[in-house]
Amino acid sequence: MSSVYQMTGVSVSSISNIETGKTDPRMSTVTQLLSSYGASLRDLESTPPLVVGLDDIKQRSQRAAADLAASELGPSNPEQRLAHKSMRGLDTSVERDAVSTRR
Amino acid sequence: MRNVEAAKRALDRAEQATDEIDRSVWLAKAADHAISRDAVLVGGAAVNLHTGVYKPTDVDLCAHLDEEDRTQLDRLGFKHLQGDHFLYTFRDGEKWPVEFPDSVVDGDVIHLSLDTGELLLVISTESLVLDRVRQATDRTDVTFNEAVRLCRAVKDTADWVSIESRINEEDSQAPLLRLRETYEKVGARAW
Repeated sequence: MSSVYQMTGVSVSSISNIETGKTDPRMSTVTQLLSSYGASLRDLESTPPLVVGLDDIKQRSQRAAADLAASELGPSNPEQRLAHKSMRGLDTSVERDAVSTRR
Repeated sequence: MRNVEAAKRALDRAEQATDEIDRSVWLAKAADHAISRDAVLVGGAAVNLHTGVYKPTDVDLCAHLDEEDRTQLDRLGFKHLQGDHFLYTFRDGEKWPVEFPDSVVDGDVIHLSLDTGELLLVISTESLVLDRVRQATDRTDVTFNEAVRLCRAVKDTADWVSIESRINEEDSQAPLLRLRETYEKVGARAW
């Protein structure tokens, strides 16, 4: 416990009171404790990203593709998208050339 | 973290790919290995992951590039065109533009797990839906139908509560964009 005090600068009794729920620490104390461990408030907020397997997502997209193909929407048309992009004044020459090489 | 050997292996996987999803994912992973920071797959290739019917015209990645990143990409066969735009040509003749339009992704990400155990960051379904609904506020058939396709494709898997909350928040900040109205029209067609 005393080494924690040396590392964090927060007194042993304060840490003990926080751990046992006797006191609610001030934000400055929380920040001080986190900083001692190389962390920040942002680290507490962030959660690790969801992990999804490529095979799982491909199975889902195959089902979605079948549903879309059967609907009035049909597949997306790259030519229409590139024409729309051109209308917005963007250069699509590289993409047009690339699309023409696709199997 | 840059790993040139892993980038070469990823390019081999992209060469062997038998569909557009595999090809775009492995090409993105190769570019990710070639640069010093994590890249996030966004845009049409990410939409195609979810819908299977998008036919992406390029691979868009979010990452900040420095000169060493550009040099490494070029050495690996990503021909530097201009700015942060590159072109990769496969042995079978297919050409794939690879672009880094932004350094930071606008939204959340997921980890896509590949069969090698490697991970690729991809924009989340929810952030992608928001992006496509924002694009549909231009009131053209092309962007509207793309938003409808995506919403329909992910209707059973997306977190719609989170999406609606973000739509409402953005709509209240910029009501003239009519994001909420566009979202409702897209939803009415998608579901």
